[in-house]
Amino acid sequence: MPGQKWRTRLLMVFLALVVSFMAAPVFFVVLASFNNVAYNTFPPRGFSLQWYSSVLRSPVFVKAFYRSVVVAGTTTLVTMVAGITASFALVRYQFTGRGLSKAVFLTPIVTPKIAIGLSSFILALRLNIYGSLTSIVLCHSVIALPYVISMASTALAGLDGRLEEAAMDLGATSPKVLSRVIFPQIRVALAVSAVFAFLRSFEQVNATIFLVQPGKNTLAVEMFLYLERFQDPTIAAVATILVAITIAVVSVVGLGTPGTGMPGVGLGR
Amino acid sequence: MALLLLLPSAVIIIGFFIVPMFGFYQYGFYSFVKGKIIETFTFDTFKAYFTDPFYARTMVLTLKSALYTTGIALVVGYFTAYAFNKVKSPAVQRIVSITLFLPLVVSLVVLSYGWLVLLSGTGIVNYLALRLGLIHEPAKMVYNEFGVRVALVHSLLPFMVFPISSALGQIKPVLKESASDLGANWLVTFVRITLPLSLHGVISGIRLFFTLCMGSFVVPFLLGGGRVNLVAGAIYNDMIAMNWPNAAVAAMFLLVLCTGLLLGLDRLARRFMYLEGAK
Repeated sequence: MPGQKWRTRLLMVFLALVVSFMAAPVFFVVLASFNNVAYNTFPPRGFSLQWYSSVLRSPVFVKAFYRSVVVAGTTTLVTMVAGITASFALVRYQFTGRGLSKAVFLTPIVTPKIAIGLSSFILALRLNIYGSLTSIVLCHSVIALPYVISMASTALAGLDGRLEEAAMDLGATSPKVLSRVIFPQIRVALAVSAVFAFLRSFEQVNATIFLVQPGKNTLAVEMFLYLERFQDPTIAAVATILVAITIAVVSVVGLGTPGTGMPGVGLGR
Repeated sequence: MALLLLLPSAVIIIGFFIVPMFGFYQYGFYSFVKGKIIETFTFDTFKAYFTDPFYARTMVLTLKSALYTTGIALVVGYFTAYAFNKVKSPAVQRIVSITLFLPLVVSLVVLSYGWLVLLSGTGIVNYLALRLGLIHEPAKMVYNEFGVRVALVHSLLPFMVFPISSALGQIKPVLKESASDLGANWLVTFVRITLPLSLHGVISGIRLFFTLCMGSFVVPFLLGGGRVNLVAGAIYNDMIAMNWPNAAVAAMFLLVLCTGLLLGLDRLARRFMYLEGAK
């Protein structure tokens, strides 16, 4: 059919447009970070690295960065342990209330983040941990856990049970099956969920904004508050550094590789 | 054994999500008088909230904004997923999926800033439009609803594309082949086979997109520059003013609206379940 080729071409043009639309804000943030004037303007006036040196000299951003890494790292650890164990239970065991518990575990995804933040704020006040990194980790764990459960259980459900049976027949003990048969098969999916959990926490603002105290902000909140007041390319320089780190990590882990669990899939049912 | 494995997640979700949620909503039944929270049970805050024209406007604007952006995202997202599933080269597939993933891995603050840079009076979009003679003076595209909607569609699009793409990927090619063998053209095949079989993905996409849109805060706050008042932003301002009762009522209403929509869409999704057998 001659029409077929033409339609496919049209679809690919459309896809290219969407890809440019998706990439545009990030691309122009990077471009803006090298501009040598203090306001955003296109085309850039000239090349300069002054915003990078001002970021690296600013203790506020550097400290907030370390704080965010600690929070996101702890959140990742907590959600990976809780998420993997829960996924095992949900995929490998039949028990009453299995469907219900999965649905409940996934609800934070569709709950307005601002409501999660406010609840965590009240909780932090009552537990007397307001302003602490612990309170932020707890809140971020609620937000990131559903993604880990969704991705890890998709990976577990896709395993070939015959391999485990074969290993058992050959005399492997349960821990050995876990480490030598199951783990290698879901390694990539787990790495992807860990990166995803880390990033969910690292970039969280909607909820975190209610949990931080002035002078103890996470980087994302610090950037949000900065952007509320100023709009010079300092924020573009911070963003570019973050984007560079993110893209490096994401390409190593292979997030977005077709076949690895994609967030949001399987949540609808 | 299963219960033991579920324990850590159950503690996180019940202890730090569900129980605190009630702890917060409790404030909706208190009142806020002269800058102080009065901790006695009352419906006054509810009454005041639902009769205040300002809050009614934020609610209407939020709903309108969410419906509008969900509509756009549905059309763009469906064709994006459709086109993505037609890509054969693995390299192109990888580039496309990483770009579609961007809003999930890059901070919303960065994305909002990017849109401010792009759409501002001295930004690239205005620059190109002026140079091409499409407009004669810079168009105002930020600090209004337009900017908020563009950035919302952008930041949440992956949540629409991935469920649809996964649903499309599950359709057996043999179904389409037999349709065309039986003389159906591409349009008939699309309308009678592809579209109905991907509807459950469409419904998951709408669920995720719409609810995330209703609750979004950072993007409307930064792109709206204080001129676009949505519910989440109003809640933030209430919290800063220490008016927790009002914030709790608004958050409850937001949650009820979202849950109502989710349940409605679930019923709709069940009507398409009979199609599952065809997969």
